[in-house]
Amino acid sequence: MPEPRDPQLLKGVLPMLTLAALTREETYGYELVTVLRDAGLDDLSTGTLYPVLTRLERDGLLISRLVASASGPARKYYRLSAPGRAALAAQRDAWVDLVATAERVLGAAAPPTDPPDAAAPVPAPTGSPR
Amino acid sequence: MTTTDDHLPTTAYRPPLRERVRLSWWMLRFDVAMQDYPARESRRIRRELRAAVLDDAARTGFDDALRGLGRPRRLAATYYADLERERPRWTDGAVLAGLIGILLPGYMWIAWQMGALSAIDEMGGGTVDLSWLGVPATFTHTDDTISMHTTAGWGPVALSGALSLVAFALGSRIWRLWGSAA
Repeated sequence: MPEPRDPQLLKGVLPMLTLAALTREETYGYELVTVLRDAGLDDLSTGTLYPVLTRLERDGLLISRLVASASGPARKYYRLSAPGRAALAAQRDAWVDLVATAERVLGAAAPPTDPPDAAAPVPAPTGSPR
Repeated sequence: MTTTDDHLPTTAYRPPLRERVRLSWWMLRFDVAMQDYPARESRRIRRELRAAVLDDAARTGFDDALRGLGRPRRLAATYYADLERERPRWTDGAVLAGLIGILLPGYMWIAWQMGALSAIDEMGGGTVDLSWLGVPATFTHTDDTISMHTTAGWGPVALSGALSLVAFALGSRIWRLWGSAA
């Protein structure tokens, strides 16, 4: 069973992933959650994504419009703006660079070893006492 | 930037009463948690969240839609964290100003009166003229009369005002208005 994902890791990349998911087509909040869940972010909730959408829109990276919905109130659809596309490209480059750096550092690190067993007998010191 | 489709429905979706009450309660708690957020933005967020919950509820059910948003305070904290810099907490400032600027001088004033009347009684009773922060007061404590006569004065008002201002400034962390971006 995989380890639960560190929320801080997700928090850092979620804006970039949101921009990336919106490059394909215009969509609304819940559908975007579904897309990202299907991509592997199983534990993503609407309460995590909605503030991100608000911030990206406030920063001018997304454009939204209200569209009539058969199921209820008007639905807000988002799409990338031109600055959003530029920001995504820049973030993708930064991410690729970061991943390469992380892989170099992790590759150079010694593999983790088990801590010494506390119950094991301590070997006698070598050499003669003074 | 948000544009609006011209063909929006005119009939609003109305969930059952029980769900409307739950949503209103959730929104009330969210409003309380967001009350120091920039007002216009806060109203917009609230409006969008409400529409999103109703839309999500039609697809996944009301419980899942609300559960997805999480606790109102926690969601509000996420919105606060996205602000470019920390904002003053006006509500905290107002509460602290009320407690320290009004209730504290009021308590001091009543305690002083009680103390003065008690002291007159200990001295055998009678009428005494005193003053509190420059405001004259006449106390009478006899076997058949307990009274206090005073007039309005600027001293207590000035004390209350000064305490309120300091408490409001400290409680609202007013220096955040001039703080640098986080």
